[in-house]
Amino acid sequence: MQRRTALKNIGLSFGALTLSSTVVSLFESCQTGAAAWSPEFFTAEQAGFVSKVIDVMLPTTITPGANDLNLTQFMDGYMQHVASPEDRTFAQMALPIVSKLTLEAAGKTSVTDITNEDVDVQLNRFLRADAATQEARGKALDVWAEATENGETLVIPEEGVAQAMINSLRRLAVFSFKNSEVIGETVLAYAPVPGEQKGCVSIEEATGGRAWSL
Amino acid sequence: MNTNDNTTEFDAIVVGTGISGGWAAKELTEKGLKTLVLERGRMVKHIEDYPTMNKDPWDFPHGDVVTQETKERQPKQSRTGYTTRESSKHFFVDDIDHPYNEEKQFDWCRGYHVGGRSLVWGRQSYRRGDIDFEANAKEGIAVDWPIRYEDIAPWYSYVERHVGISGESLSLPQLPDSEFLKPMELTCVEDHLKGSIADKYTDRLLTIGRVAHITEGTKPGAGRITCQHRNRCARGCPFGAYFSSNSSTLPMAEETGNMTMKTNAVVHEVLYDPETKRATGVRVIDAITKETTEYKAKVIFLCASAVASTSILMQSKSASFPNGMGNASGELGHNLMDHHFQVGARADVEGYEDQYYTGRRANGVFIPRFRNLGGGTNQKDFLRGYGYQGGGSRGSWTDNVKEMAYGPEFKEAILNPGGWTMGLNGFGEVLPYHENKMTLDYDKLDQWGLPTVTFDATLFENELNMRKDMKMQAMEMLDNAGFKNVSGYDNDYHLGLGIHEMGTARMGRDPKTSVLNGNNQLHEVPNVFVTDGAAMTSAGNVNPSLTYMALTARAVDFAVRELKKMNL
Repeated sequence: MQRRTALKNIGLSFGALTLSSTVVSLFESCQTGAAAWSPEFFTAEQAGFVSKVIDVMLPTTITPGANDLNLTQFMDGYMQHVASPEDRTFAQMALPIVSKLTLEAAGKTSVTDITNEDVDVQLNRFLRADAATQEARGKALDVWAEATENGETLVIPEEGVAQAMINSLRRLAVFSFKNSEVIGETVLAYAPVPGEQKGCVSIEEATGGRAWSL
Repeated sequence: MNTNDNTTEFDAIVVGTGISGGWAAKELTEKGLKTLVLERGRMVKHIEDYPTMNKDPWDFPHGDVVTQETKERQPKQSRTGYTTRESSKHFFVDDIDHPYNEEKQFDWCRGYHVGGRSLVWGRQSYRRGDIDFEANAKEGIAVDWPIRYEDIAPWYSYVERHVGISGESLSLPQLPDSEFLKPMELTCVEDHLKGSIADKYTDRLLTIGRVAHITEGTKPGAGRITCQHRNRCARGCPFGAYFSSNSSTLPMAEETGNMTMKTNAVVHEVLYDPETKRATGVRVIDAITKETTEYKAKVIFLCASAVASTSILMQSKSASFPNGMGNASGELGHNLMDHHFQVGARADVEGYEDQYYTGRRANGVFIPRFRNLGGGTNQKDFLRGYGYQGGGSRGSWTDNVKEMAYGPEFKEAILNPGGWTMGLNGFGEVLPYHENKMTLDYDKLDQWGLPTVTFDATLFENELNMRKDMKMQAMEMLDNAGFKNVSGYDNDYHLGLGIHEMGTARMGRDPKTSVLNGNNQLHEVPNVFVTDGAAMTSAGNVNPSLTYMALTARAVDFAVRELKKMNL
């Protein structure tokens, strides 16, 4: 309890969160790490763009957001060391298309000039489109993929590609978010050694409402 | 454990340190036999050698995932999708260093280290009943088991009291009860399904899985205490709460002072004296130095796993045994079985939003076999039966976020538990088919100059027909429970993936048609015993490890009595 008070006094305030010393050191390492970090999979420009996208997906609120947690770095490592060769190839084709569509809609020419508002327009376009539009885009992508496999050349369905890529980024961002130490240990309900097992209890009693982190 | 001893003569030799080898070591040493225990892999000491036991997902660079680098080194071990995650990949072999061949795809998942798969097993523990032991004889399939339930029942009890089996007593003829510790609890939706099945069916029921976890008190071994419900079993348990050789049988064997253990000891041949008609010992290659050593003993227990023990016998060729030791029947390597699964159904469950659970229960629900038990349960399209394992839990964040898509509300929603889902996965019996076999390829040698194993086995009509019923019944039960979005599945299953390979040196009454007798003794060489999965005459439909433990303890008891009578 004293430790938590001390942490608040040094300026780290995340509402009712319980902060451990490891969390503080992680934040510190992420901050220093962010400056020194150079991506393995993304280009530097793509890493900057992805940071903006996931900042809009998972913004800082009373809990840390994607960029507080340096999730771009985690996602880059994941793409490089865990993602399948097929997923990597797709991302290399699709990420430039997503940034191109974003630039076109914003009337800009440089990715560094893209704002969170510009990203928001694209996420709204691709993640909140009505079901029929989303399905049509998905179908166009399937048709193109099948034709490509058969050696035919069709025009790339850019909206289908962008929609798939943004959904993949969101999946990976959420995975990264929920697998980060700060979220896992201090935001979600964390019980490394539960000790007991009860099959059916009220959520209030179990965790106070949050999901278990493990 | 004594690894520097230069003695080469012992009373007994045990090959392998998994579920069966650990029991053989414990029983032989406790009965006073100086016993050499040989393990082809490295040492894994309880707790000390569980490097990931306390790690959270964020303690791994990319989360607890299967990396591309791992897939390159362990492509076959990765076929399960879970065994080669960062947290447990070190307990599975490197496929490049330990190759095998597939006429037909066979997923041979294994670990070469002290404790073997007892460290990573699923821990589901069920007795077999006479419905299993009598089935071959009644149906004219393969050969009759040489034992019945009454022969093994006391040995089930004996091992269960050491192991600790959590579960619920039901008095079902097709699934005899164990000596139970208190059962784990059902989740709300599992309890709902249990009630619905009780209301709508007279031929089946749902119970909690029977699992080798201590749920009350302690058990003997290296300080084994009650399960803490961390669900990190496959990494090794610092509490010794689930049964493994490392936490229980091997430390107890060591305690006697009668065990000598040697690691990196690749046994490839059982030595034979045609004068005495007895095995005299084993030949071993050191996995690192590649030096060969021979060890002598009065009695030999092969507990290296079904495939490995069979492979050792196949390589034990001599003028007396031109086709491999104990293979006069020609059945050695044949009748390879597994349990077929990856077929069932899942559903969404509406309601129970304000209900949750505590603890990460390393167990699921179980629906015992309800087909071909006589009368109206008999099926015309297939013999034998299957059970379901499964569970109901709160699932994916995607349920929470359909409208929100992204942003602050989305972020809040993914921090809350998702909707409830319920899944049932069938585990079915595979019949013993002579044509399902493993052989040795002497043209493809491993780095120790030993032949590699080739698998040629598949499912046949009986299993394929059973799978249709497994899918349909799972869907029907979930539908009858009022669950939503019920969907059935029948994934691409290949033999081996159940990690229950068995049957390649089967027990039987007749030396002309079987390899082992009713005491797990080679018909042709009475001082060689095989007590791992190789011994199985039929597969049954339940997880097999408990039966291997009981058969091993029983065979040791017999062997030691025979030794005292000078019969071996």
